[in-house]
Amino acid sequence: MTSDTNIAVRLTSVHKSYGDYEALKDIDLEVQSGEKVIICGPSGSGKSTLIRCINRLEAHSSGQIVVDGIELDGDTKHLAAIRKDVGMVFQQFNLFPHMTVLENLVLAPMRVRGTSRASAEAVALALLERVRIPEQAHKYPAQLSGGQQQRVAIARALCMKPRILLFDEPTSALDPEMISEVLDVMVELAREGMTMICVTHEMGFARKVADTMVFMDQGRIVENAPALQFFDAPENPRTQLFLDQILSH
Amino acid sequence: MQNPVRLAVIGAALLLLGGCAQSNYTWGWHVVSPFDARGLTNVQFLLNGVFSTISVALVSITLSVLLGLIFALPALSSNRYLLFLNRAYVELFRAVPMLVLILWVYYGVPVLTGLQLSVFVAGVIALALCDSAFEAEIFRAGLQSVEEGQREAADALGLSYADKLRFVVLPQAVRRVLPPLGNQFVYMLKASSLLSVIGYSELTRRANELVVVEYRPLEIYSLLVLEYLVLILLASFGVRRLERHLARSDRSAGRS
Repeated sequence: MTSDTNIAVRLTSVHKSYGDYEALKDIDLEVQSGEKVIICGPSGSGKSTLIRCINRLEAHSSGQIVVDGIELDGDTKHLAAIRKDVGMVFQQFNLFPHMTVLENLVLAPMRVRGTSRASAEAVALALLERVRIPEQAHKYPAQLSGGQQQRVAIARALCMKPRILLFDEPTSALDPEMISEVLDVMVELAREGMTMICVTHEMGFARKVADTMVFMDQGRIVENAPALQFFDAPENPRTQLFLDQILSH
Repeated sequence: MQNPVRLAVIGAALLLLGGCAQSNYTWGWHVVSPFDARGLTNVQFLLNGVFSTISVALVSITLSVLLGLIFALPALSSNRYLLFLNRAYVELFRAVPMLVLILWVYYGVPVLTGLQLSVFVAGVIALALCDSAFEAEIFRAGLQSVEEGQREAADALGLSYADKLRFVVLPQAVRRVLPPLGNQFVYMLKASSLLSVIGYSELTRRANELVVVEYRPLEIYSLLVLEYLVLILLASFGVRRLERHLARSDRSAGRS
């Protein structure tokens, strides 16, 4: 059991199907605490479904998912405990448009963790500083650029002091000139030791931060390897093909 | 196709005008004139109904909005029993005419339960139940229009179902459905006139009573039309102000 304490997330033969369609097939994955795992693969390969299963935005059909030592079964108490500790950043930001940036940030700490408004706001302002947009605290999301919105979304996830952060294609909806400002923040987070599971096609970012690379295709994990080995000598020809395509320009 | 329709309309209008010209009607505005002693008493009698109209409409619409919201929520579930609950409620109360439900509640429920309801209570129950079916559909549309990503973000942050609804989904849904909600409020003010049949002493009932005494239906009902017109224009004005107020504190993209 002692070795378990370092395991942040463990998936054991996880399946997920929608009717007849199998989105995830026999997924085994272990993520150590502090590890940065980057998941890539062609669209429809199941990578988004995989990370959405980790905080049960999608319920897996069979297999076992354990997050921070708690199993994700139907139990709502388990689910609540896990969601407190697992933050998520979405492709479409999903900020709450009727609230200011600051209100977006303090809502969950106040309602879920029971933090006082004063201390929640102090944490929120410090985090906005960290994602380099402290001056936007009282604006509404629609008044910000995409890159700023995504940084607010990262700050919002961090406000809950999560142990694990999930990123679902965080830069895919951004204009090219805004991608780096979001990636910079993510690199910083990685350096600070956050456990990160990230679906992305940004291979430059992946090379910089990833400990482990996972390549998925048609609902399966095709390759799961240390980053260096993955980029320099991928074992599977499909991985090689994908990397060639994505890095060709 | 259009010509015959137009001809019919023009013909009807001419007949009506002709009829008016031929009937040597002598207007009797004095029965509702504030400058005539008896007219003034009559006008006061009529206008006093406005509080009854407003109070029954306000209580009914409040209850109706709450019921509508409660019965709209199951429509968002994927549980088929909850979905059925929503559909059954909406279909049932949408199908019953308001007047019929008013009569059924006022005359029927006492027979069923031995409990004599006041006209106000019976009226509120009937109006609220009928209207809530429409409110439920309005709320369903509003709630479903809030993007799935909003719910997912709330879930991912660990918000409870109640908090997700209260802080994330409902505020956005309500802003979107404010125009139809305002519509329903105006409609409720008008529908309260149906309570005249069970003797609730609101605007219409009082006009009916006065007509029986004065035999001046044209003048008295004309004043009644005017009363509703003023009341509803005021209500519309209020609803618009509320809409603008909520829009101001919202995602104003153009403002910075």
